[in-house]
Amino acid sequence: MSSSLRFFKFKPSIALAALSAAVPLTLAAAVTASAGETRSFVLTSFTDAAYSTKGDCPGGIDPDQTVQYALDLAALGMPPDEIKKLMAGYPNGPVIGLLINRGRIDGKPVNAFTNPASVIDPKLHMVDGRYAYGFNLDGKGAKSPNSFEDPVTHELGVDNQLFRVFGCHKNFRGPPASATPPTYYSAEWSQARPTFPAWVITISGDDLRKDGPVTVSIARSLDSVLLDAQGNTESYTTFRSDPDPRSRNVFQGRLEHGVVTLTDHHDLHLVGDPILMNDLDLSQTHFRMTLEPNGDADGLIGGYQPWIEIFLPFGQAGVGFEEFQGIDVPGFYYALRHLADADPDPRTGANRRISVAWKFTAVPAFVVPAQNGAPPPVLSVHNGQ
Amino acid sequence: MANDPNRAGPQQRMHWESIVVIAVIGTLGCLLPGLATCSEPVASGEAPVATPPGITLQALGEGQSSAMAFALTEVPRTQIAFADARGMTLYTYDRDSPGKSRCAAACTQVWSPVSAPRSARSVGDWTVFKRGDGTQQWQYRGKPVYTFVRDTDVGSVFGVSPNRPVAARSRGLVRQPRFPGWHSALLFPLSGIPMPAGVAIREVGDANGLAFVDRDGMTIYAFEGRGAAKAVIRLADQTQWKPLLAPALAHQVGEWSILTRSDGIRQWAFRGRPLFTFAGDVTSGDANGVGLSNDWDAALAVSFYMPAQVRLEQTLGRGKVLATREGLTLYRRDGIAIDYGGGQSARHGVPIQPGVGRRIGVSLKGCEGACLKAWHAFVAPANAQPDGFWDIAIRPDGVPQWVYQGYALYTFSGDRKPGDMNGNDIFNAVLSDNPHQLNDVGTPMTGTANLYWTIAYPSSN
Repeated sequence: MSSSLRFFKFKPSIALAALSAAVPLTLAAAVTASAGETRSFVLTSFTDAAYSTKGDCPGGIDPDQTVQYALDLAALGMPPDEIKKLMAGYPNGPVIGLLINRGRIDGKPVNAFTNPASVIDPKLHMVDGRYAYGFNLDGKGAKSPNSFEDPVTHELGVDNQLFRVFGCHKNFRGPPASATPPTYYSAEWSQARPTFPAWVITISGDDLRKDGPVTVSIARSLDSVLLDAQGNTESYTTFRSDPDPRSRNVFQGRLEHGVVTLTDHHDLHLVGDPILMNDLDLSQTHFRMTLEPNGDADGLIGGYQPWIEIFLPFGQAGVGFEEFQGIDVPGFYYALRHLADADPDPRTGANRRISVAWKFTAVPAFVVPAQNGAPPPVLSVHNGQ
Repeated sequence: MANDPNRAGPQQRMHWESIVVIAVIGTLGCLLPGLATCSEPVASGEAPVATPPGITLQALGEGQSSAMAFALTEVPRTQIAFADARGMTLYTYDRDSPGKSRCAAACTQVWSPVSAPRSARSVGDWTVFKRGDGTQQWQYRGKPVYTFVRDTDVGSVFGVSPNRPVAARSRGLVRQPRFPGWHSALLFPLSGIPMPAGVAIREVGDANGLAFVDRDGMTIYAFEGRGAAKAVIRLADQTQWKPLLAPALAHQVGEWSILTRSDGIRQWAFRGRPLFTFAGDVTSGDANGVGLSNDWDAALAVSFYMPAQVRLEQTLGRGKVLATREGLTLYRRDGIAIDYGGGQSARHGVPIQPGVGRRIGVSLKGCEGACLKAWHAFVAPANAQPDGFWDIAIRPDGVPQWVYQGYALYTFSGDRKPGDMNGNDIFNAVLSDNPHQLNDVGTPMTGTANLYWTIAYPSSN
């Protein structure tokens, strides 16, 4: 690895390029305007696309964090008796300070989350199974190394190394046909959504009851979702689209049998929230969304994403994340780094992106342009009434 | 103020009746004992500016949030103190009287008189007087002000630094020392202003001052325009301005009077201006009615200093933001502490952390190449002085840069017109793959060193 600092995520090029992309966006808007039918949605959940099956973790499930902490301390050369004594006081006492500063630089303790590479790799378990949700991103099909089979489409050559990273930890596992999504991202999404500017999707076409070409717009709103008394996202609320060009993405796609897919696969960028991810930044964007008979929608979005964006929320939360989620943060750092499978750094050769698939659900919404001086919209229509 | 091109008054308009009042007050002010200079004229309807040049405002204690390591989910900002140009808290002494300091000789080794330059002019409640040794000293509301020799950090109180770990302070391991007769000089909470029951004062950044608020915490506005009472009533009925009603038994309090309107409604007035709330304000702290028309302004107890190079710009979806005179959005750089639990993108979604901003300073660690070209320091005039929430940082190349609430300010090259906010939520994470490389961004981080660029909102609690 390089000995120099790596600087992530400043993307003035995106902002400036997006500004210059205003013309194509305008053209796309013109296409949308001439479309016969437009349907918009707001995302109600966004989680890792887990398809966990028995035996897909031949090395076992990652241990509880108290066990992992004991292993981490042992890796630092601490005697078993001392570890036992310290861990007896966990999560209080001096052990917390030792765990936070379990990194070592020139033999001195340093913060393990600010400096994860200074921690000894705990070598977390990885998925080694047949199935994973996702897409054949590299186009190699079954020949693609370390690829999966999508359990729904049965497409071969699915690239989803993120599932391999996450899939052997209990908070990221999601059994097939389970109505309950994996814990971690569900919790983070729920926590973020009251203040997080909503992500919205708009599908436009001549007649969305029939198969044919469509335009797919994926954007960020200025507004957050409204929740009902049960904590569910309200349907048919209005969202002003954020004029910031960094979060406006237009793709060409196709609707077939109620499923929308993309026919072009350029980059996607959505500004996010650090609690979830700073940005959703994909190359080779793939998308599959099912329009449900009740008006809702659900689907997958995938591509190659900078692995650092996925790591940062874990790293930022530090020891609190490890305590509450039971996940070894430096362990994830190493796993993401090692399984990254795209975008090699021209200087070091290390891959900077990892193949991913994210699962989402959505409900109908109205998406309107933001207008200066207009007050923030409130609930405008509820269930069509 | 009149001689300083960097200072912008809270309002530029002045009615003829105000001018008469100013003339009278100004004449009397020159005759008051203890004043070395005449008070700066203040229009009758205007709020005085909180600070003169060289006097700053600093949140005390945990309101500084001096390090990410001590970040809380909610940072209390219960006290805003006056401070000198370095940010050191100011104190007053009970035994002093207007124009007379009883702290001399050995006392001044502990309590340093805050000197005023020869060019100093009185501003609002601030005046200057001559000490026995001939030097000039600032006084606030007739009380000479001092700094305390044991204060070493911004936000310190009686020598207790906000940089001491929160845990140590909350466990009582840090004791607040007592110095009989000495008090920190506070702007907020603001005392000594008579108000009717149900009215309070709070910091309203969007109005750039300490504003009067109603019992629900909603900003109160004064009608500053001209017109007969009937016209004002009609205007209020036809728009979203709601009269601030006075109870039947209420009577005049200080500068608060009651107007009995032709429709029988008793309405509060402040300094003769009828008062209203605005239906466009959604929550406490909003001031969406400011700037809609010259006829309306927030009713302020005091206003905050703002450089003439800065204005408040109304934006889409993010409310009022600090902007250049041309309207370009200003940004600051901050650290991310995920324990806030979200809200990073929301207006005032995470508390301001002046201590963290000062630690980051003008360093652009984590920002190189295209990043460096995209962000431009918001340069201050060569003669600019710290004042209120505004400070000056000297960049490595010697250029002065405006600092607001501890954060150096920048503009973004991707913004082309007023209201653009294309630099908001841009992240710079610093993470080395080299196990021997220490990641340091200038401020202690509990987690991964993630800095981000965010809109500079006007100060608010």
